[in-house]
Amino acid sequence: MSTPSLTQSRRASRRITQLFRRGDYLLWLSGGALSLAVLLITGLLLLIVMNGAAFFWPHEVTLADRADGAKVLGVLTSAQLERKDAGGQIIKSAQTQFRVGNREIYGFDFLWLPTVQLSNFRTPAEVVALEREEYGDFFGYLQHVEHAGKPIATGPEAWTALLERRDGARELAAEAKAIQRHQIGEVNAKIQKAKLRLKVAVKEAGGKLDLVDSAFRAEIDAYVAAENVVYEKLRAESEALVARAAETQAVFTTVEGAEKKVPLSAIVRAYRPNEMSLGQKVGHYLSRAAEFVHGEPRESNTEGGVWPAIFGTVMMTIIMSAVVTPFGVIAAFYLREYAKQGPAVRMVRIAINNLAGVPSIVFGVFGLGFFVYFVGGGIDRIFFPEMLPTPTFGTGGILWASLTLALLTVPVVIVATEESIASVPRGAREGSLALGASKFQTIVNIVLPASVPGILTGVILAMARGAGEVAPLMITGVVKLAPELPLDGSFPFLHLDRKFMHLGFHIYDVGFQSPNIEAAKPMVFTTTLLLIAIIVLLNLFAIRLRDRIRRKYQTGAF
Amino acid sequence: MSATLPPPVRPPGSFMARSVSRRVKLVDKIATLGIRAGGLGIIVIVALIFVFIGLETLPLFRAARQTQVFEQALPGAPAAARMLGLGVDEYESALYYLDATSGLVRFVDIASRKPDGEFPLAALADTKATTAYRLPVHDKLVVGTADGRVVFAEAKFRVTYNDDGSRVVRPSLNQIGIASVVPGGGPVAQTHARQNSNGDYLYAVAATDGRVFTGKFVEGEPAEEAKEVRGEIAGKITRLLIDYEGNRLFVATDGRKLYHYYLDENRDAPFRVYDLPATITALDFAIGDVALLMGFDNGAVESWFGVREKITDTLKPIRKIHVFESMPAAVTCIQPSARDKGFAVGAADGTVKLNFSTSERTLLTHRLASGIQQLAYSPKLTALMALAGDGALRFTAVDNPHPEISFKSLFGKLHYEGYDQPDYIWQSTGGTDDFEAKFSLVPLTVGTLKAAFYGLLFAIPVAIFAALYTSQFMSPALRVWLKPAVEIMAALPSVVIGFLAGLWLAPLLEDVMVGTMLCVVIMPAVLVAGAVGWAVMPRSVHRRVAPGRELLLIIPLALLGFWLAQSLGPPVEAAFFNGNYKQWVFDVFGEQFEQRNSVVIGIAMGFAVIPIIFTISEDAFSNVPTTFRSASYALGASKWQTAWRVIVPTASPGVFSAVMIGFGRAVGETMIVLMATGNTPIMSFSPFNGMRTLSANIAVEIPEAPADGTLYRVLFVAALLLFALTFVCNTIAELVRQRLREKYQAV
Repeated sequence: MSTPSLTQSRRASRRITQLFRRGDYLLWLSGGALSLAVLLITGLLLLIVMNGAAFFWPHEVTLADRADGAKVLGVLTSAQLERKDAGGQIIKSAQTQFRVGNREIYGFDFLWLPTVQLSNFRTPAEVVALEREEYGDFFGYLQHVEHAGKPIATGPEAWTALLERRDGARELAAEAKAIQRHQIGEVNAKIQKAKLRLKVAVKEAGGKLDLVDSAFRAEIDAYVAAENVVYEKLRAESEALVARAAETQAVFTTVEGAEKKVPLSAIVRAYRPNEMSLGQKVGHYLSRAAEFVHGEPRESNTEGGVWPAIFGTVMMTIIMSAVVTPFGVIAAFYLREYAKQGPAVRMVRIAINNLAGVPSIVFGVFGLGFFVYFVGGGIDRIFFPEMLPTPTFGTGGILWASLTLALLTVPVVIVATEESIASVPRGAREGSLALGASKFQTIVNIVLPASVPGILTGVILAMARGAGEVAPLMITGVVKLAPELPLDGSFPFLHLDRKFMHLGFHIYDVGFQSPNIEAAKPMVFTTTLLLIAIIVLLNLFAIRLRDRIRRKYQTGAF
Repeated sequence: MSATLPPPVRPPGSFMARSVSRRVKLVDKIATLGIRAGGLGIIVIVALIFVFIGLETLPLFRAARQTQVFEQALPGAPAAARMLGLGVDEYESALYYLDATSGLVRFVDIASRKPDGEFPLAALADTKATTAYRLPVHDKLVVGTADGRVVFAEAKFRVTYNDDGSRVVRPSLNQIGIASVVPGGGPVAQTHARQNSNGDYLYAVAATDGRVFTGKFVEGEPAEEAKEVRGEIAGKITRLLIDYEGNRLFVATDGRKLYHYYLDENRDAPFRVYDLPATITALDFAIGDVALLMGFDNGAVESWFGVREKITDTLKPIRKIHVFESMPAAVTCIQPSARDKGFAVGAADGTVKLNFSTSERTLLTHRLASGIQQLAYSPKLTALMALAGDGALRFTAVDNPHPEISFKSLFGKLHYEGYDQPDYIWQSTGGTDDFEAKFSLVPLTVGTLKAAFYGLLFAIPVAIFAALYTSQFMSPALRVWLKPAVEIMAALPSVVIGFLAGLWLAPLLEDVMVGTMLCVVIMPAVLVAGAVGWAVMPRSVHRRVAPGRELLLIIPLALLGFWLAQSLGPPVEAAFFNGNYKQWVFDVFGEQFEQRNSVVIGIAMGFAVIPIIFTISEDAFSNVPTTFRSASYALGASKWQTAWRVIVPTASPGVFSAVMIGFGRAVGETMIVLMATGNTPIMSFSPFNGMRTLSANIAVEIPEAPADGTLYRVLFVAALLLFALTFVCNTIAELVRQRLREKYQAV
């Protein structure tokens, strides 16, 4: 008789040998592979959500003493532990990173300091943080507010004066900007148009200016002169506004004690992060998030909003869907209902499946060579010869980018449509035909309505794919900063030849091409979060839709 | 996917009742036509994509086109042998030559072949020109005289525009200066000159008595005295050559020798003397003054340049590098192009060929009636002039857009100027005119395969095992949650993965590299330990976890393994890599550790490829008929034994096709490699450095490439290559899948 513990241990050892003999431990390993995949995706999403969503939060500004008696003021951003080598010697001491702002004074945004040299960390309530039109953030102490060189408020009143007067100054600056942008832009466009008319006339008259009707020339000259007067007037007006806006300035001192004057019109946001209540912080967060979504980019895209990129992405996706849907659906109906089934159609199917695996950059190269240079260049030669050598359609633009992506995504729509046509119950079709409907009537009235959700799934998947694609767009019309949106109030409203901005390209450009990548990183994370949110939502929608269709037909009465 | 669909319903055409209205029939007919046209149209357009890309690459491989504009003797010209320094202006409006008999520089209007002005060269008033060399750029003439002097002159072309925009070019002549070279005033037999970046002239002169002089002439300053070059030179000097630094001097003689001097080192003896199989009868530098273009009296045409013998050498002896199509008779002249590495060669039987140095291509050939005296290649490379011994001048328009491309220059090893051996190099643009473009697609293809390899190295085991687990061991309730998660992983834009890999993962991984590498060992070890622990747990514990939900235990274990590996990282690094693995890598492998390396690419690319391989192999595993599994269980096999010995072999073609499709995706991936590598085109499979792939290369370079230029078309070749690679992979995968389906249907 053995003791119970012995039986237990014997049983355990038998189980272990069995585990290895039957290989079931490998089951755990393959589970490990799956959990790795799951952890990767959740980790990535968490990383983006945390970094992206934290960007707008007003962080406390910390003041610390340095060993040499100086002080440092900034947001604590990161810390590095000390590293030792094999012998226990410290190779690298512990470091603390501050985001010190004040880029135009220091020449950098971030500062690493050895942690041992820092002491007395505190968050003084009176520290002011500014978000400015230029040079990024400013951290310092408010001294007074002055108007036209004379102090108007000092001490505690200065803060209230700053907040009160800032809106007025911002409004003036915005007015000046509006004049520059819209009215002056309009005048410029008019002058351009008049000059173009003259150029066309010169061309028609045989290439010589002298041959053009002198009355016409005088008319154009007078027109241009008149518009130039308007232009000068507008310019003076906007300059006066800018000067008036800059009259009121806030005077700050940095942590080193240096004085810094900031015009109120250049202050996007002023806040005292260390004394903000939770409610104020949430308000600040929401206001910055709102600016991000509908604002214009500033500081070579590293600050401000991404509205033009959102607009460009959505616009391009819509044009793409408008092209890809009819073509994809017609091709699918042809393959499914009209083409003679045989090896040829099988080949075509393989080719279409294959097309889905062709690298997107290959489509981009085709788009550039065919749409931009061949078709666009041809359109320019026929319809816009007076503009040459400046290309109109013969350069990258939203139309060509959308068409390129339509080609890229057409297999998705074809495959999804075919699948949904196939899942329409045979009985419904036969019923229709038995009642005397023609083939086309059957398709339009029975098959198409039944397969609409499936088609929609395909289109949504195509949209998600298109919205996330960057490589082909880079070479067919996306730019880092588009001066105008492709849809606006000036005739013909929809400007298919314009270049546009795109969220995906924005990520690439700001993350890899901007001069100050470290400072731009939070912005890129936020843009990434936005893009992923759009794409994940589209995908989830498509998945839901697909499941619903499947369920509907599984329980179908036919 | 499509082949699993039920066969379509095809109603017979005569099915329709006769009472149906004609309008319905008409609509039906029109719709049939429309859908057929639309459907076929879209399929044709798709096919056209690749035809179009292929067509765009074709001009690269076409020979140059030539059109003879005229061939005639010039009015009022002296005998061909007395016409020196033949040249043509940038606009190809006027040609010019120095009439050695009269000392006049004569201009001839090309359109009308009428004289367009003649200008006496003042320095030739009381002597005769014996030889002249025209610099390939800026219409500069260097004339050797019978009294031992060298005259510098330039043909000037003043361009004005008429009111109607038409161009008027007025030629004139400007004498820049004179240098007395041969002491005692013996006649000059040969001369060669170069201009350095300041515009100063460096010249070399051979006197008829065999002495060689070199000197420097600065415009507007009194001429410096020329210095004699010493050393035994055997035979009569046939050609000589000096570089733009005035340092390297080459003297060719009819003793079948070539003397190579480094004048700054030693003016008294040549650095090397080369014995040649034949006598050099034509010699010049290709643009950039690195490669010597040589023509021999036996018709051979070669290009030589300096190659170090040891890595420490500063002086490089020259060596035969490129050999071109042989001329039928002795070579008489060589005319290098002013813009690229091309050159024209003329022979004693009147043959003219246009060659390109890098690609060793002969681009065009034509023949005149008698031996070629002079050649001139227009500055814009669109015209070639050849003057024959009988005085006939042939003016040929040349259309030669892509001389540097041949099959070999795209895919073979080439010896580029300045390199010590032939190599595969991609370097499409350089700062200067004399830059030799290097268009080898091999390093890019290697980079593409390298990125895909490291990506798959990570993705294949993870994706396939994960798929196996999902399809075989997991409870359906969990599966419902998991599959959408993986589908979302597939939908993540690659720009996001690339951004995170380049800006977040790469710097992070640099710090925790050792710990991350340890994960490969420690995570499986922890999981196996977990399996053992689970096995010895009493049954009552087992019962609490529903079958197929072990994953809920495995995930924390995997996290534990990851944490363990990361915390073991620093001590392991300290113990085995002296606390600095980067230094260790450098010491052991001799390679610099780059932050954006193949490990980063492997993880990022793996991330992009895992969902694809996962989805397709999961399908393959799930589609194995359940009877197989039941039979295996009935015979007493364990879960894993069933999965590994029954399910996996049956589904293996599906898994193979999953891997092929994953490979196709990895090959074509652009944004990840663009953002997460250093984009250096190198030929190395080392995991410690990065790569440049075909796709990233296209994305980087095509925005800068002028339409229809050589680079533009080469990038189309790259796109075609990329397409071919993925097409082959996808087709194989598709065929394998179809076979697999047929097999299952049979079961």
